[in-house]
Amino acid sequence: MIGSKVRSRSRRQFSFVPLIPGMIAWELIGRLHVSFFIPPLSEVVLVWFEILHAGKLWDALVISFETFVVGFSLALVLGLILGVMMGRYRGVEHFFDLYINTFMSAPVSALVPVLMVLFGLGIGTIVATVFMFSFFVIVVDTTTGIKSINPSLIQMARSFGGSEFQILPKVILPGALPEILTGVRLGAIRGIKGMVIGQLLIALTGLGERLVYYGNSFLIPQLYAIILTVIVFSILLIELFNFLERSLIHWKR
Amino acid sequence: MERLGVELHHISKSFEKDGSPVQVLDNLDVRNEAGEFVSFLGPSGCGKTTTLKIIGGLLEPDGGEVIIGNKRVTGPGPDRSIVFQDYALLPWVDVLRNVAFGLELRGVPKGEREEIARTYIQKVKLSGFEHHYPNELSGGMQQRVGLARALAVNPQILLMDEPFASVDEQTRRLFQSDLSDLWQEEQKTVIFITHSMEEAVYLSDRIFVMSARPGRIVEEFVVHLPRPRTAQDIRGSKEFTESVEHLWGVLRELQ
Repeated sequence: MIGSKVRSRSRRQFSFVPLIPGMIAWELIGRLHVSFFIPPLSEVVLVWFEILHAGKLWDALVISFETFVVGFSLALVLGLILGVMMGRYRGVEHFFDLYINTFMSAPVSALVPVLMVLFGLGIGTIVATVFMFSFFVIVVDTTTGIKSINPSLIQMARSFGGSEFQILPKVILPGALPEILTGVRLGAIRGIKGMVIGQLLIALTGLGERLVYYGNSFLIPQLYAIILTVIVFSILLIELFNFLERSLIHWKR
Repeated sequence: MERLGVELHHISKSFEKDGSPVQVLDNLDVRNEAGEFVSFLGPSGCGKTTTLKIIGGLLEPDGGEVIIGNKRVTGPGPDRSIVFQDYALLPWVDVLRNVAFGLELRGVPKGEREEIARTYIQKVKLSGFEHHYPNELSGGMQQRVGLARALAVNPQILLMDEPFASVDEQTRRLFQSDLSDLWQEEQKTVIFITHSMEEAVYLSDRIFVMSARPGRIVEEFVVHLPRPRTAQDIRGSKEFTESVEHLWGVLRELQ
């Protein structure tokens, strides 16, 4: 009985099987020469190794990864702090609520030119774009998680003499962890989008620069190779967070 | 260990509801002797849980004061612990850590608190479940964890807020008799909140019957049943049924 419970706790494992028919279809359509814009998958993969070998892909990946890590880390740390404050203190929530919701629904991509003016045409703007894309969802989910904690758990901790400094790490943060991790995962996915969009708009660095370059040069297999890279990067990241969720929230369900 | 009684002096409390104040407790004046098992019995909304939280130091009364051992209650303290209606167990830690949690908050070292926790896990008959998580336990077992956690900090006064409200009848009866035994063994002062007349009679030395809105004590009833009451036939005895009938008479008048 307990064994089955342990099994049912884990989230679904990642599987490549559903991708196989899609990959075969792509290959076939490519080989039928339906369109110049749909090269076969095998060609895209070959080109991927080619541009990787030429060093261009690797450089673009490193720069993209760096900007993502910096922007996302900032969003994570500041988002957690603000989310905890908003979840814990009504005054803080009232003050920031409208701002957070505005930015959650605002088309952040449209703000990238503004960021360019503020941060220049370099890494700074991309970092800021990643931040703007991932910060708000982390704040919102952290706030929700903190507010959804069963109040009697907090009363229980207080009744045993627990101080706010004990209750935060021992009751509030672990209780809010499922929602916090959801926010962090969504924030990371949005952050990748932000990274690519920022680089596309600036078109000077990273994978975005490659996308613009190959797109404008009609090097379609290369273009797909870059897009695939971004997708694989996202999937790896999502799987990392799924793994974190599985190992940290084993107690849920 | 020194035993402490609880005195409520003219406690009143009101809450804001839809913009207007609602009087929940009105001039509650109660004395509970050291080592006594006292129940507050009343319908939903009569302020029994509010009373318990005020004694526990989780809520402040608008007027009046709670005195425990000549000291005025200003907040939670090591002399009291609470058993919660919804168990209030941490779902992310196992039974052992849940039972040891009160001691953990009080800074007792890990080895020591786990040893104490194991003793109380045994006392509430949960040996073998130390490393189970709350969601793997039935409601009755979860409440046994809640009771073990409250006892593990060795309080003089145990405050129990409708602990068996969401437990099925057969589990409840077993738990009631275990609680009765534990109370005799541990010699605690117990303040017990319930809406069950049978439960109040079975467990208590004295019962305070409360009316709702505003919450007032309408009757103080002394239970004269002999102890221990864990014998099978006590519920069938004439005194038991008469006591329950009497309480029903009082509660019916309130409707």
